[in-house]
Amino acid sequence: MFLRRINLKGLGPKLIISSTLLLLCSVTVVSSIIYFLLAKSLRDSDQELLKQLSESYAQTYLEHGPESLAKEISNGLIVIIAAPSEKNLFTKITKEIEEELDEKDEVQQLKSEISKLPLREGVRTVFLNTNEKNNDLYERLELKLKTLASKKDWSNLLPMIDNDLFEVYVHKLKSGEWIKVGRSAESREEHLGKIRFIALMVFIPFIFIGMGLSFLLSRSVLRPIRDLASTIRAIKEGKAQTRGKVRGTGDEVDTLTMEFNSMLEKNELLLQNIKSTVDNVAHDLRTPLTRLRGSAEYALTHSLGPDQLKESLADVMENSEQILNLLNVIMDVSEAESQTLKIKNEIIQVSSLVDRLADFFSMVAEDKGIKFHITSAPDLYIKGDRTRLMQALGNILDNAIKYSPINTPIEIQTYQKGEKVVIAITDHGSGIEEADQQKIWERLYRGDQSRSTPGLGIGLSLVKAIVRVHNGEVTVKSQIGQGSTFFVSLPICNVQERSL
Amino acid sequence: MFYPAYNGSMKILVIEDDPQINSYICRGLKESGYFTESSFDGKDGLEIIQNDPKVDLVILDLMLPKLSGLDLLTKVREEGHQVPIIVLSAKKTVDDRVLGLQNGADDYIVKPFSFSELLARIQAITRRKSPQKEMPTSLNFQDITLDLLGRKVTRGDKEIDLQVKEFQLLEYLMKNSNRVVSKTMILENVYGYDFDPRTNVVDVLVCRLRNKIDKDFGNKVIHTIRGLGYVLKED
Repeated sequence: MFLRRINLKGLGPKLIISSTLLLLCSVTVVSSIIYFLLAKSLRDSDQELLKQLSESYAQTYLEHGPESLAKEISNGLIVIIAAPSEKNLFTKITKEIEEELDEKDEVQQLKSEISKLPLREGVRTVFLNTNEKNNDLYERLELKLKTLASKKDWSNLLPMIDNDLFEVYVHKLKSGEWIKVGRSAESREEHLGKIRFIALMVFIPFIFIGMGLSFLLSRSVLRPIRDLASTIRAIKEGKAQTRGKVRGTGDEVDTLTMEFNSMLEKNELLLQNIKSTVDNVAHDLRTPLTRLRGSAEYALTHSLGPDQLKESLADVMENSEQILNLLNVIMDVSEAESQTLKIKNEIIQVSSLVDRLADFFSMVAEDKGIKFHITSAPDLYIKGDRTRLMQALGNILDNAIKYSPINTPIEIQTYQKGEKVVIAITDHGSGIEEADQQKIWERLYRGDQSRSTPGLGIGLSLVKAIVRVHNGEVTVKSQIGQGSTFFVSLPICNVQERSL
Repeated sequence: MFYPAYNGSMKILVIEDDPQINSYICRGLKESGYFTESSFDGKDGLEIIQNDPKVDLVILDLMLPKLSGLDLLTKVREEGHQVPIIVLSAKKTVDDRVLGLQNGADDYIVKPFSFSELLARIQAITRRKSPQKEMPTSLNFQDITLDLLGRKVTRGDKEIDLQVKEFQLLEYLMKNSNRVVSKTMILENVYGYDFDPRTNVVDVLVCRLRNKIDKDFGNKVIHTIRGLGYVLKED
């Protein structure tokens, strides 16, 4: 079941492989460094030992002569004292060299000599004169040592015997002779080999453990993503209420899920909005359509004179006009509410906007004996769509005129309040009931539920929608018998922005 | 209902796929004294424009089968035809208008439209296209004289004092005499608004003008056509 769920193209295997590779690389690097340091420190200490030995041998040699030195030489060492004039003075030969000597006939003599010598701590100490027969062996050894010694003090020497490693320290004496101390590095290599083996033994399970861990990790990371995918699948299958599970861990995947959920909420709201818009449109259009149909039907079913027919046709025209207006407003409101209404972004001087507005309505106001009292703060600017804002403010002012008693003033004020420009329109009409003050913004709502003032409610919902699109707010303050004030507040556009 | 003005028997091509709307436009245009030709898809319409040099003006719907109105427009202008084109569209956003005009349309009218508005636009375009006559300095309708330079209005021997908007409305009505102008057209041409603020502003303005022009005279010239708008015509 575990394996069945692994999709090779999925993120899971990629995560596992890449994290395992990463682990592999880092373990390799770290262990190589450790191994290298370990080997180096072992070699260093060996070399230090050889150096000390060679110094003490040199001293012995100089003070007491070669015989004393021979006694002093430790096991496993090759010591050669070379003088420029006399070639090799003597050396000490290890057991391994002894075995090598065995195989060669010409050194039989040497072998017998060697076997006569006392065995001390498992090694025979042999002094060889370079003038003797086994010159060849020594020359080879000497050559090797010499080439290396001339280059530097320390070096690994490729073995001439076995596949051993030799380390040699060359000490130059004041008398012109060299004392060379060489030692097999075999035992050290053996240790290091063991370490390599142990490291490998640790390494392999390490990789398996790493793979396992990264598998678990990737599963736990990917599970929420898989859940999200199944949420989407569920929504596609029609379960629109399904939401991604938020774990509350606060990590990125949680954030993704939350964002995803909020997007779903928004979509659903939009969907509901569209649905309710369609319902409202149907409802709104039904009334004038019924009247239109009625007029047409009446004209068709009755034998009417030309004037009466014209009347019916005029009814039809008027109602179709109303249908069109409603349709336009509903479209505008819907577009504004769903944030798809296209608006311009002009810089508008508020006082000129208000002046134009007042000018537009001046005759209508005059007819009712209404005077506008305009108090504009100069030099206030906003950004937005002049036509749309005129439309919104026009709706408010139009209502204010309609609800104002004859011969009362209407105050229009513009002022700055924090980062907002406020346009306040006050009438002295009958006011709006407290309970109705929220409802007036709803589509189709009419305070008195009458049909005599067409489209008031829808007008205010358009006002609200337009102001909202401009990132503004519209509110109302009203007292029964005193009148109402509508406040439209829009973000101010300051000088720096204007000059841009 | 419609009051044709002299139009020199222009030939107008109507490209509109809805047969009812097409025939309604053609009928209205014929009544107004124009010759018409109908086309019901973009490809056919394009062929007529390409092959018939007698077409003086085109009324073009945007949503057409075979070749869209915008494509047709682009093609016609690319080929260098200068024929005036009025675009009809159900889309009413400003962007669509701009797009239509940028593609070479001479004017734009949004569905549903009033026929009188379409007529007004056709005449505005033909005025623009025909060699400019001298700008009239005054307009006359019956016994009404409107002095465009002195901003004075007289009816008979009586000088009538009009406010700016009233003057502008009368000027607009006189320029379109015997033709119905809708409230929308008045709002657009007198107030410079291209949206309907759904107010009685226009009614109030017309009422005021009527009080000054018609009230004291026996012969009324400003008439309300219910459901359509207003017209300046003989009683």
